Amino acid sequence: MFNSIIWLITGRCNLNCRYCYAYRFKGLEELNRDECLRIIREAAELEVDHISFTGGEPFLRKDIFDLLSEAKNLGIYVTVVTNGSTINEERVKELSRFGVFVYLSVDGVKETHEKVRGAGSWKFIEKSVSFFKRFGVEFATVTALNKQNYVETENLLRFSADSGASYHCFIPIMPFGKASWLDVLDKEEFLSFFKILEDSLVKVDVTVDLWCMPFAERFISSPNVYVNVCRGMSAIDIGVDGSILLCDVLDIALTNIKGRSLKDVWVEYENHKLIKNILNPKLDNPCNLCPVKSKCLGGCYARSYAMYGDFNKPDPLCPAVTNKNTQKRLS
Amino acid sequence: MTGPAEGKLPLKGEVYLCLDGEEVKLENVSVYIHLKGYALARVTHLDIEHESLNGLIPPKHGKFLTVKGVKDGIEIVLDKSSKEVKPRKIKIVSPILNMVLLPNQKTRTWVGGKIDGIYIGFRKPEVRKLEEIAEKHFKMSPL
Repeated sequence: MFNSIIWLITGRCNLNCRYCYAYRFKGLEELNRDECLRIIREAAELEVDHISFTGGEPFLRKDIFDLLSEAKNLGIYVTVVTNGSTINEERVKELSRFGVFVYLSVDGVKETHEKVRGAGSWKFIEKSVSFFKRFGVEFATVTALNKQNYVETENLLRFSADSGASYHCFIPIMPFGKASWLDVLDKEEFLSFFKILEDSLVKVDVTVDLWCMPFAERFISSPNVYVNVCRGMSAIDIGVDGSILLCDVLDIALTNIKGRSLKDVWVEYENHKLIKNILNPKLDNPCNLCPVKSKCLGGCYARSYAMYGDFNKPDPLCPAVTNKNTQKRLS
Repeated sequence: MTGPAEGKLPLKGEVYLCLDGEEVKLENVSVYIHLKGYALARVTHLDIEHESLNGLIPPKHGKFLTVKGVKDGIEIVLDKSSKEVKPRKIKIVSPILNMVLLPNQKTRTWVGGKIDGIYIGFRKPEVRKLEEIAEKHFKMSPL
């Protein structure tokens, strides 16, 4: 049974970010308020203890606070991801009242952030941080790593620590949606990033989460870094239109929750051959020889699928993978 | 490491495994604030040591789980996906831990496995609170 739901609650967004993987959800018919409330109630009955609302920009939904409050009232830990542009005093008061944890997207410090997210977008970050501090909203900063911002890691961590963020998260941009393989960090850049990160953490007192790069286990030794591995995370991704997605970057819907109970959907999900494959990967070399294979489990299966059409192949972004064809395509 | 050591500060309290409405008290359990710099700890964390916690999370492995403040302590909500994991929650009753998480306050944080136990790897705000407890009640600081 799953514990956690990652929910693309809307495909709409008021920004037009350079590397957005989710823009392909724009225009999809969203689940309506009653359907969403039903799913939340069923989730509580199934003892789901965490729902992460993401998008698009979740605060563009007029009923978002109905959903947040319902989940909170049912005892679920609620997080919401925002670009900060929709944050205002009234909303932050509500977030504070409901005890919602916020992930704020920060893709660089000032100029670099605006290169990715558009001119004038930095002021949204400053405004959001100021409101979060004033009204005691707990938050973490999230950076989508790209070729421009990974060198700013120390400044990003300083910004995070000075802003009062609980922690900072890094997630590599994914070669889906607007981004291509040419935009993602290559092997050398990943190794540089890991080095910069470790050096920065000696100077800046902050906790870091790494998402969607399980291979970091092999290259990072700082005790202040937690590496998230999604295989076996016991979470499901609900798409904008109610699709149950294999992963929110892949257009592979396993089933749909519209008009069906969450429990039935979960049973179907759990027994799906793709899920069984992903939870029990038949790893290829070099993963079989890797000292962290039991933790990393081959890395990101979505990237493997995108590169090779095979979920069991090694993560093409892992610096330990030296397949010449992979490296050629990445460079 | 498991067992007492310098820099491992024992907390008075009780630990329960919660299985579908039933709470099983663990006898001879140890709960320590393990300070950074002592006994190989590289960051201050909370150790919960008892042989029955073996297998919940394998040593050197971990995962993000919800940890929440409850009256007089904290609770770890375990992952339901693992077939080996039978208890749904681990409740640590030690009122001093409400200095780290107030009742109803929650966080998603790292819970790791170790030989004969588990540990909670909190984020910096909670780590600082653990270190404040160490300073105030044990007159010890991380190295």
